[in-house]
Amino acid sequence: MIRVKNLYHSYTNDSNYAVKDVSFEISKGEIFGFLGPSGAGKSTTQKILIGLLQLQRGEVSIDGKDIRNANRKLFNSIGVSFERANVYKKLTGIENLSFFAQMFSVPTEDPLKLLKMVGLQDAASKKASSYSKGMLQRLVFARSMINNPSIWFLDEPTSGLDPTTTSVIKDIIRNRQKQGATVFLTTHNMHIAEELCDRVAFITNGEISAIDSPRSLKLKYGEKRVIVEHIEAGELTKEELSLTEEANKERLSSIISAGKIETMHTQEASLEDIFIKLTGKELK
Amino acid sequence: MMRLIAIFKRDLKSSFREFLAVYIIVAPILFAIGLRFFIPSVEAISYQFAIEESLGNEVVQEFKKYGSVETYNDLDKLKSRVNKVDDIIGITKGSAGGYAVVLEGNEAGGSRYIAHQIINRLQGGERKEIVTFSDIGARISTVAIYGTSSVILMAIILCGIVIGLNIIEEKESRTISALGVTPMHRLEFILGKSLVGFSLPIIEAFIIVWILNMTNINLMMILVMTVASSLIAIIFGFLIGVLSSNQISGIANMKFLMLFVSASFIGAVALPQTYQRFLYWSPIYWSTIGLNSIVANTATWPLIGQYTMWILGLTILIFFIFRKKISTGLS
Ligand SMILES: Nc1ncnc2c1ncn2[C@@H]1O[C@H](COP(=O)(O)OP(=O)(O)OP(=O)(O)O)[C@@H](O)[C@H]1O
Ligand SMILES: [Mg+2]
Repeated sequence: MIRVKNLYHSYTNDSNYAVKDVSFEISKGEIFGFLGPSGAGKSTTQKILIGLLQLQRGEVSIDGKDIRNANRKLFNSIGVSFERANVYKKLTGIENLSFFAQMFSVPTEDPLKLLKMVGLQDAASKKASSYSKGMLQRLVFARSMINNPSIWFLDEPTSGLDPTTTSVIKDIIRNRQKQGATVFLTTHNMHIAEELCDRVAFITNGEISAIDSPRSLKLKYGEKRVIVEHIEAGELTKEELSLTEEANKERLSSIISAGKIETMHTQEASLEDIFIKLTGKELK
Repeated sequence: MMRLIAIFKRDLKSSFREFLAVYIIVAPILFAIGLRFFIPSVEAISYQFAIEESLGNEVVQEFKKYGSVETYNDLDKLKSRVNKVDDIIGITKGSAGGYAVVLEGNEAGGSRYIAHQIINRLQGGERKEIVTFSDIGARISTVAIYGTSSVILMAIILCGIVIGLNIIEEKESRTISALGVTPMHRLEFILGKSLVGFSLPIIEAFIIVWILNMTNINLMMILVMTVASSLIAIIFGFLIGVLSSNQISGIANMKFLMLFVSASFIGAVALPQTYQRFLYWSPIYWSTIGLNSIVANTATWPLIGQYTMWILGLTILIFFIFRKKISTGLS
């Protein structure tokens, strides 16, 4: 669906690249997560894919068509949720969506229905200038669905939202995937990536360091660990042991043979641990 | 086409919710109303007389040649009529026979002499003096001519600035990127944004003409001149839009533009004929003399055609000079 090959981008038109040799493919109906800390080049990549930044070097094709000579009609099947809420502040929520609906030449969704989905029905006829940050975020998210897109670009759709709203947004994304939408999701929230994405790419300093499903990444790089609580010399002790290191394995079997275990949990590495391990960087 | 209308309607809606834009749109109308009330001579081309009935039909008929006549049989009623805001000259029987002219005191310069001259003629005076009267008439209406055309020009230019404000809004709120990921073409955006600059000046020009009671002028010519002049205002609007990153700098750029417009207007009105050619480069100059001639009822279609060609040519030239700037400023 989306193919990116050897993509480079420099804002200064020199060798100071914000995006360096980025390649990936997203197949139809897939949710692809683009993960990285702030300034990694996520939004830059998204802006090139949707044509807001000029393609300087590399190849990008959407639905088999090279975006360099794509027809503007292609946008009828594309939806974009921006990281910075860009709406008309003097227009109401409804007016914002209705206006954008008129820009498309395909059947569009009912604005009020979309606003209801993201919990903005009460604010629908209020001017966007009175919206809070989270409300604006939900408004651009709702707007990105107005043309019922089959290719959906989401730049930080849940940043600054409370957990309840975040899970509402997650459900909407999952539902649209079921209806066949392909999703390019940019985020630095590992939990969302882990729950939603079929595959993720790790990006730091403009370069991709790994692309795979969250599960295989964990199997490949995640060290299996176990946390045991047991009684030793009359006292409750808690130990964390690796299941791959020899010394740790011996220690574990001696605890087991002592037979005084209270609790025992295997501990999977989180996507975040793996990210740090692979890139040497914290997210955020 | 549907997108153009949608962009146009959005811009109108947005402008009417913004104090500055409303002010800019309404200002020329207010100026026209002011002009109407504080310079009564706008209407002086046709004079008004209030005549005491007992002076007889012959006198009434003579005055009717120069303006409209109201007759009164009561002297007090006549006097209170004269005291109303507009310029009306009262004619009554003089205490020592003959005629007396009743004036409010604030009548436009020429009014009292006109009455005197008509009376003079009634009493067998020379025809020559009546000719002077028409000179006076022409001089007074100069205020009306320049007043009307400057207010119309102001409406046209200010509507261009409304376009600028709408573009600044798109830039500041980054909605322009949101539009960039829809099937909308850039040309549709430019044309849609321009519609405000075409339609509002036409409406305003007719309102201004109506307020100033200038309805006897050629309205078709006003339409042509307004539309042609709108083109240049629209380009100015786009330039202000792409050059200003926010409303404050938009207003600063607008002042600059106003300086250029007023200089062209004043030059066209005040410079002696021999120096006028130094203004030929300014499309505003052609708009000014075009509007002036229409309001003064001296315009002919060939003249209007010629002025329009000058405006179109210069506008296209200006557009080509700034095309790149506008195009990159919008992406
Ligand atoms: N308009 C711009 N002009 C110049 N440099 C820019 C511009 N936009 C982004 N950059 C630079 O490009 C790099 C990548 O930025 P980008 O916005 O793609 O990061 P990001 O991964 O989306 O970060 P975040 O999580 O904060 O949104 C950064 O170093 C940033 O400073
Ligand atoms: Mg970003």
